Amino acid sequence: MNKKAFNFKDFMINYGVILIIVILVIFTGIKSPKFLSSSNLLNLLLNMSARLVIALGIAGCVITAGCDLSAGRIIGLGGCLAGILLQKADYANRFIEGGQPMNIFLAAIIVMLVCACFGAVTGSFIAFLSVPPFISTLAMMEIVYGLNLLVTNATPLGGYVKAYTDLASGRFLMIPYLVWIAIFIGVVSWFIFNMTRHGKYMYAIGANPQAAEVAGVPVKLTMVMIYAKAAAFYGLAGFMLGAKSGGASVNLGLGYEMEAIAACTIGGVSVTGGRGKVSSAVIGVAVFEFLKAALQFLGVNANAQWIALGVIIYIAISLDIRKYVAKK
Amino acid sequence: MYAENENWKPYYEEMDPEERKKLYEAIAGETEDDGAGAFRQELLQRRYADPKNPQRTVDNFLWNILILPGFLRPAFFIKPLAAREVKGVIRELLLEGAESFDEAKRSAAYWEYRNAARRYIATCHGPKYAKKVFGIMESNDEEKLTKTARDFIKMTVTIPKKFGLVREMEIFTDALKDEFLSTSPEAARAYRKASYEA
Repeated sequence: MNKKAFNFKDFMINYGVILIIVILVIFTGIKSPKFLSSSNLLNLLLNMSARLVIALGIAGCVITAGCDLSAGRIIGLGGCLAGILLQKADYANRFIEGGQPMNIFLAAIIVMLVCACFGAVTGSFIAFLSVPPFISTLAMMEIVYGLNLLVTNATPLGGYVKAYTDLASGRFLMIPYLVWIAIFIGVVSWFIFNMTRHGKYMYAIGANPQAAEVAGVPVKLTMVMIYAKAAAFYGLAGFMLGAKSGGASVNLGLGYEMEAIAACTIGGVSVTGGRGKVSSAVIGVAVFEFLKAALQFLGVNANAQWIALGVIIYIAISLDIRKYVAKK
Repeated sequence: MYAENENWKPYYEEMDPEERKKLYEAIAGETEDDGAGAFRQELLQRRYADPKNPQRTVDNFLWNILILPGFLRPAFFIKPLAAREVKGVIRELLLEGAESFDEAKRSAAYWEYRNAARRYIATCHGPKYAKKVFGIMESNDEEKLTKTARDFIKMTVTIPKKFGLVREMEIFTDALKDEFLSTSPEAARAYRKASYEA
């Protein structure tokens, strides 16, 4: 086997999107020096934090050659649930009259557990009834949205306790708490992906589910756990976004699943399954957020930015499919 | 290089674990020890026994074939971790000290790994294998063969070279390569093509 020569076409297929966005970021930085200022970078990190948590959840599903379209609606559920549990006792429009706000850590755990239950249901449909992930998560997306509408009566929630909103404004070592939470989830995910049996099962299922089953991997249980863990992460992201915006509604997190899937794909998590790392999600989310910020700084119409993001998703997934399709 | 003992041929051709256990008992009881009897039994036990749950049916060799290509995944800064994992696979496959195996042991190991590789290849034709686009689209036969060939190149060439374990893994890589090439002329072509791409 000879040492492989540099192939420009392969390089562009693998890193083309990232390269174009890096050039765009450099161009924006030159044109508008404020773009690379520390305050803007911190702001970008803050925006990245919840999205990274979502992407890390979705990455697990994509590695098993699945996807999760329910992420956005579960984020909304997590945000609303956190809002209900953390409203001030004396808030005029309190959702539960006469109740007391909960400890924020306890509230976060409850939110994650409730969301994990929905993820476990989705995973059960995929694992035990062989419903394709696309359909199963689409159904769960509608169910969660409906439940959230019923529970909240489509009323936005606000009036949060200071400890909760401080989560977004507070800092440790100059870095916002939300970023620390994202770093913590990143480390936990890295550990799960690389150091645990569950992580190996996840890659094995993505690479060859039938071989995994024959080898003795508890495929069904692992699938349920992957979707439950992902939903727990979406719940946490909803909790983080609620703290950041100081309120929540059923539409919190709408469309975030597409951004997260696109970010994972840009970073290197393959939609064909079996491939992807925590760093893939980190790179993808960073690239996506830098792109959005660069477009803002370049004065691109806010509505037109959606088109740019759509084009990026289109290109990223097309290139990913191209990468692994047999050359005829 | 790896002599095939005619007495043990049915045992190495069978893929069902329960049938293989029965065949092992029958052949071992009827024939003289060829010098690899104890090692063959050790391979059998190591392959199908789950030390944590004896009731569970597993295939540890198939599992190791399945996870091996994934060790090329980690970033460079955790390469030592991946190297440790690959050495773990060598231990699991009872390949430690394989350079000093006598001919009988080498052959027993080789045919056992070929059997595991055959079982793995058998799973690479099903509808769930190599699904595309979030598991929605099924790959055609050519795409499946290409993916299998690429994985076999990783296992038989890239990983042993990358981790400096060519000699330790020789029996295993020979078995995997020979089994894959023996499946069809298309497989041999796909293997050569994947080798060139790598």
